Amino acid sequence: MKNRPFNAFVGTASGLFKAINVTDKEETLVVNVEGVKGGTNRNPVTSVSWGSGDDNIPQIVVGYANQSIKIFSPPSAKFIKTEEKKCGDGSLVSVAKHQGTLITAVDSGVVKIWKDGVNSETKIAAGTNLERMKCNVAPGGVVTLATGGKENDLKLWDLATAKQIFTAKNVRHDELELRVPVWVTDIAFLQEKVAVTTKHGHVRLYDPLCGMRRPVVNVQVPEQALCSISPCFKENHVVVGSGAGQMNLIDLRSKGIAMNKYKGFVGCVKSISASLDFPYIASVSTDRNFRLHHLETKELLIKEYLQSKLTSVLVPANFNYQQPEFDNDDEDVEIITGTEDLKKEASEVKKEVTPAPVEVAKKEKEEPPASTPAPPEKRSRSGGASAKKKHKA
Amino acid sequence: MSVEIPDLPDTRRQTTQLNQVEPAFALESPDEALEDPLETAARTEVVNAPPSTSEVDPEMEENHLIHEEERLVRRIGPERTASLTHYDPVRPEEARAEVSTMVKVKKDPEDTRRTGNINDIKNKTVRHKLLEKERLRKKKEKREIRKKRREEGGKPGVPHTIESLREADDTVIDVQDPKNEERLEEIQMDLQTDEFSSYFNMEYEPKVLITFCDNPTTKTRVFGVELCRIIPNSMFRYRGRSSIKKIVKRAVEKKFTDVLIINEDQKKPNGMLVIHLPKGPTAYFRMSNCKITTDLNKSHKEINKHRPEVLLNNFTTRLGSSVARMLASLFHYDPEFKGRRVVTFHNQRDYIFFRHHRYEFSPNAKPKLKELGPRFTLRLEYIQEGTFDTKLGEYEWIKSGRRRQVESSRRKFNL
Repeated sequence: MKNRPFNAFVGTASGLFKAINVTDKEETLVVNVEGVKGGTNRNPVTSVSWGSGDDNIPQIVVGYANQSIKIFSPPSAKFIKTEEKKCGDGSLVSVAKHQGTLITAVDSGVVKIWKDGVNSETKIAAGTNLERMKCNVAPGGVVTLATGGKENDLKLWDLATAKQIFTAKNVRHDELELRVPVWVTDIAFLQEKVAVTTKHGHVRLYDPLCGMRRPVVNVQVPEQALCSISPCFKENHVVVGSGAGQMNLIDLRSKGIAMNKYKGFVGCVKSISASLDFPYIASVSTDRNFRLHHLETKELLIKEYLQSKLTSVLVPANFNYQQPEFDNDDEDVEIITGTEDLKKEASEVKKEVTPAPVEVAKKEKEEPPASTPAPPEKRSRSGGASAKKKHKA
Repeated sequence: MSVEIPDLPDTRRQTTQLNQVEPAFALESPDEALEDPLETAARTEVVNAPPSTSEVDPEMEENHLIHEEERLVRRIGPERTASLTHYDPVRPEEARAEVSTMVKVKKDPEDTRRTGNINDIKNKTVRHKLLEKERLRKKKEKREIRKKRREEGGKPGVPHTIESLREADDTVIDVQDPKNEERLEEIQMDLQTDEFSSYFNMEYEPKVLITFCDNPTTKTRVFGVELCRIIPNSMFRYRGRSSIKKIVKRAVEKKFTDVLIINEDQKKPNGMLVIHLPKGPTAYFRMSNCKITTDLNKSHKEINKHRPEVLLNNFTTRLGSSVARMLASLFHYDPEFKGRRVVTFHNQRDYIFFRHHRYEFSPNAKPKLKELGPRFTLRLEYIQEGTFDTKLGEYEWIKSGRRRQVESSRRKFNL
């Protein structure tokens, strides 16, 4: 029981970082990494994201508002590094890591690329009032940064050259010939395409490859100030959350449509992270609760009160709520395979010649789940695959 | 013009007809054939029983019974009737006595031997009669238990109220449980570093701006003035058509720490917006039952200028403590006990009652309490991070749009 592997990670507005184990078998386990000492609402966690270290073991980068960074290692459940990364005025909004490269963004618009061991620090001016910066590894190995904020439309940057590769153009004036205000609040990558949410209730899908700078799909969620987005188990669908506590599934095919509405929120849905292999959505809210919904049935599976206001959540791409059955004597084996699993994923990524991804999640998605070999020791994986089939049926 | 009405079967006539038919007819019907032989035996016994005290012919009686049964079978099917018309063959004596009354009362509501759920009975009159009887029986039982307990000298029971049966809120954490130590520590830390921590550390003195919706009527205006008398270091200003966002901006510049905006509808105050400056949060309360001093036959002159004490009762959940801290931070942290004034925000079932009193302790009597007014009731509608922005703001708790969800149970309270 002691070594339950953590499968969800939450950053709080009080500066704490929580590791959670959620399964349908046992009660939810929540651990404050480094305890609650030193937490303060004056230095909230603003961003958590996946990254990989030099040995390709997945890591989590935790960014604090005062421009400090901590790196968390899921297998050991410890912080392995704490750094000050000052880059201009304002509070830190987003952080990302790609191999040895760390990328930080502050709300004054400075995005800084820190290369490990090298003093060369590249700065990108991404425009003022920055709200979000996301990093993605394309299948070709090109690492892309996306930025956006208030009156600061989506921009894509190439990490290697620090050059701008795409700038979004605002949508046409509305039916009253008035300009539609720009306020990008969150960004998600869907393979080559990029989806954003806006404070004015739009979900927009941009396709940089098609040569069109305006969004190819623009869906309006009426009267909601959207503030979070995440890709999910369903292809071409995203889950978005709003300031007044509404979470929707958005279909971005053809003209796009707002679909499922997930219930149970009483406060702003601050951050969403959905499993890409299983139909589960984890979300955190200002009402201090961590929630887990089922994508298809819309059922609220878990609601856990976590004391502080929550700002960010992260689950692995292969997050599964329904844990496969194990024999009692296999308990220790399960934990070991859990870590091996992570290593394996990382090594799989390595084999593909392309530079290891910042988000292991993305890689996972690209390989068709059915073709994934299920060696006997990877029991959790194989069990999961069957579970997925069940859901599809 | 006349409409030809088809001959409807007259139930009364049918009854008489059926009553004249021999019992053999009824026994021939397929439903009867399926019946329990024991039951039939019992009925035969009834038929053969000596005439009862009443003058009703037993044969007629039996016919009537069969008829009744058949009608029931037709209505609700053979399986269900078994429970309704079942006669216990073991108690022929009683059955006989009861059968005598059967003619007058068509179906026997007195029959407690009926099995199954009373609520399943389709006949409304019968069902109601049985339910009423059941209710009285339970009441009597309860009374007897209570009497017995009193005679034995036991303590009276605790009555069940909505509050005592309140659904547990997961934000209320058991202080005794050692497992919760870290959680409590975290809550403490959260409270000590929130937006109101500087007030509770006595780092600033609150300065409150009270304003209204546009064109307030007399009652709202007077209410604002009275609030101004109650809250130390506060001032009221007419709004002058300015937007709330502009008011907030100006108030921050003028070093106000809180803004109160009173809304009115139908010439009565009906809402109160509390904005904590400079960085929020913002809370909106629905206001009801607002009574200004003149409504209570009091005089505002009774309200002295000393800073009052503030009582915040019964705010138990995490949301409750946020609201309580917000309301507390409107008043100066250092009360002047000389003035003997006390302001109470009492939460009961999510309604926050505001009362304003002057107290007096005398050595040999009970403490005296005099209400000074005004009084009003608040109900939380939303609490929002940051200053006022209903469209784009991020809510910490909001009721509108999900009333069904928030108020899912009468026994669930949020404060």
